[in-house]
Amino acid sequence: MIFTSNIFIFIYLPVFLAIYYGVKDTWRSHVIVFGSYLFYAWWRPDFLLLFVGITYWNYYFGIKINRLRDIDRKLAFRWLTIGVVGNLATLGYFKYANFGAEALANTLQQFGVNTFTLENIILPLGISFYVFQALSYIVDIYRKDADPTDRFVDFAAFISLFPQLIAGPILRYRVIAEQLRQRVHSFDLFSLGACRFMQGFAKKVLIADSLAPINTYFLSISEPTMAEVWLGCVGSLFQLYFDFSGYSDMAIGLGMMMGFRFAENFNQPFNSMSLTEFWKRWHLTLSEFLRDYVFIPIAKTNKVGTDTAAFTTMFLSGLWHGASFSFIFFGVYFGFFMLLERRLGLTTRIDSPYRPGRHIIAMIMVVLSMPLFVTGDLGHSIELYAGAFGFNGVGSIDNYLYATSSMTMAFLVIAIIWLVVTGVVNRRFYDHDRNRYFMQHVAGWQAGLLWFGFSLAVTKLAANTFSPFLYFQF
Amino acid sequence: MFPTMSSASKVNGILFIAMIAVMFVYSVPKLWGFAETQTEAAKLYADGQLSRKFEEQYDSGFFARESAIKAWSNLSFWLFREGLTGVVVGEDGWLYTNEEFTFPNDLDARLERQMARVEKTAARIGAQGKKLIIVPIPMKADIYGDHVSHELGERPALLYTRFTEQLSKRNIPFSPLREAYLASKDRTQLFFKKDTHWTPEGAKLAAQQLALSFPDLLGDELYRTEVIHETQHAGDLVNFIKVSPWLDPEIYSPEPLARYQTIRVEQKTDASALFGNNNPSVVLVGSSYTKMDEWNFEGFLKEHLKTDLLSIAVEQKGQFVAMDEFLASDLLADDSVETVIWEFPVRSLITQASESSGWSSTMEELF
Repeated sequence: MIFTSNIFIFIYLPVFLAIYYGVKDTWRSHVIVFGSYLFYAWWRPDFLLLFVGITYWNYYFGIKINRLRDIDRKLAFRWLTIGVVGNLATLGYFKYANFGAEALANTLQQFGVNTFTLENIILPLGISFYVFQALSYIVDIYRKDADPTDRFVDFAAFISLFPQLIAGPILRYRVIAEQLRQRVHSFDLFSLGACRFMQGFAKKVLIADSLAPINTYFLSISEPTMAEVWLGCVGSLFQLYFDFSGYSDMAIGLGMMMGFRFAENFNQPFNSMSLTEFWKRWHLTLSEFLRDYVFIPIAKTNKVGTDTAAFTTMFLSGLWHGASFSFIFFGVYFGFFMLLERRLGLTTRIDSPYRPGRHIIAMIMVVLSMPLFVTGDLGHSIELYAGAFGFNGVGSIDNYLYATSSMTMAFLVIAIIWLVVTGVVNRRFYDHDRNRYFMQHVAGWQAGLLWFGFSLAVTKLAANTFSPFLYFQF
Repeated sequence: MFPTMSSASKVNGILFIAMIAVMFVYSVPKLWGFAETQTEAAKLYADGQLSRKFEEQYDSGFFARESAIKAWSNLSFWLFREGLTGVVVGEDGWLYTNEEFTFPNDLDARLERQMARVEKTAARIGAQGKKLIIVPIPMKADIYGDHVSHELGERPALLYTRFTEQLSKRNIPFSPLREAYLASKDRTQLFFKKDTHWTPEGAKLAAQQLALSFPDLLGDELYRTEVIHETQHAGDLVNFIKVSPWLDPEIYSPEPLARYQTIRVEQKTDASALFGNNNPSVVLVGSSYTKMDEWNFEGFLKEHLKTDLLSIAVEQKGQFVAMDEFLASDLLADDSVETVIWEFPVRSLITQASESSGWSSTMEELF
């Protein structure tokens, strides 16, 4: 089930909320677990078994590690290692086995060795997200950053919480632990959640889905010209942003409706003036997860420098995004240029003074990463890079107009306007004015604008065919 | 701290709850109705099909669906004079497929690939002692490009010329059609305004041109073509138009279509007719331009070539699929078949997808 479907908004959500608010506080985690399992089973009930297995595995290891961490640190570490390996092996099997087998078969083929085929393994929805959350639980317990929950149902609720189950934001146990035990429910928070949900819904349905034809056509172009590649990259990047940040908004909004406060996942990434800053604004929960569970542990070993740790982190970030060489290179691309920024002293922070030159360069660098991301195929990416640098001529964007529509291009303009407005608001916020900004309090004409956008999105959803979230594949 | 929504009026919450509550009341009967009609629910549920089925049923019957489609279509048409993706809206009620407007960057490579296929086909047919004749149908946007505001330039004309030049270069006979079409386009409507296909008059002119170009094909059987009735033709491109009729009444107005029938008027009297064990000497292979009876291309060909013929044609799959069917049939080796006429829409030259290059082929290129 996806948030941008009639079934979810008009059947699942009212029933879930009615039951959730209809039961006592002590039963609400049970409602979350049951509702979330139902939500997940809507896709494939059989994969619930894996889901429950991972939940129980980590719950058990959490208890074990907690018992041992003050008595025998080494043994506790062993248990942690087994727990981590178990999680990563599960993720590795479902996400990377096909890729590994294919790469091996291709290599053997070069030497004339008969190849083998691996039966196609289905990638369970959201596995990259819920495995990471489970990992955060046992690691946080080992590090004494959090105490294990004494109720299995609370832990199951943490892993399965349906708003962020499929595509994040990635929850950290130590951040959410207290909310699992006790959270404040208020109509103010519910109203805020509803607004946040509607904002995300409009971003996804109205803008991301409207930009989808650009990406579809972009990926089908043969011998693409410079103009075609740059437009395709920009269109794909904006589609990805509105799709994923829209999903995150909806997840955060739904969480608020249930009394939760999830971590933010995006902070106007197109305001970035360096690639380092970009990753402090884009998919924040992944960046923070990798920082705390990969970068810091590697950097702390003192065997390698922070540069190597940073590069390794970005490499793994690429690998997390997908099982293909293009995703690995996507990580390497950012890792390399972020190292270069560090060496040249070009890194910036969210509140760094605005430098238009750096802003433009950073955005060009982000746009140039898109071929590696959207194709999922290194060969195709190389073709697109050849086009981007003029090997097939400058060309024009005429074919986009025929293959997509003027309406699609109009939404591209709307997306740009949206990003400029919110970008300026964001810039002002960090520069000086933290007390008043656009959409800070949703009421009056701003509420009217939000409801208008949401209503338009509902009609567009009714008129459109099904469109899955891009991050469902991760 | 982030500059995101930090508070909201309770009115938003009240309205949101009201909205989902009302919509839930609307949805319950649909859920119930669906549940009562399912016979294999458990089996379908196990692999996620049941939920998909319900979603499809719910969405297709959603009360706002048709009006939403209409509203968005109207907006798009009103702002940009556009239909759904797939159609290009011209002036005076003319519609075109967008395929004729998107010229690929690798046109040379595509043309080369298709010419290789055509040449291979001609060689196979030639090896059986048969003659292949191609009927290249020009693009609608080439002949009637003056009804569209988009500037197509010389590209459609060049494509036709390049194709026929390549055929000449490879010594593959063809029946030139473009000049005849351009000369007649104002006198006779050769393509429908709202359809991707030629009119019966367009098909008739193609048959006449073929008979003029290849007089050696003419037989001695007389056929007569007559109008059996007049009807109205909506046009396949109207499927891409969802606007309200008041926005442009002309866009939905159907076009007159005369339905023809071709009948033999003089019985051939020879041994083969007596025993009836021979196939005609001509086989027509083609796409929907041939397949659809509305255009009567097969009938016009019989009439103008004065000979009977067999037809192998497919809809929606293109002329290459039809040719593959012919090559796989017994007709290829049939001695009575002497000529194969291949109806070939030129627009297919730009719609055939290129071969994608994957990781391994790129590595081969690199190293």
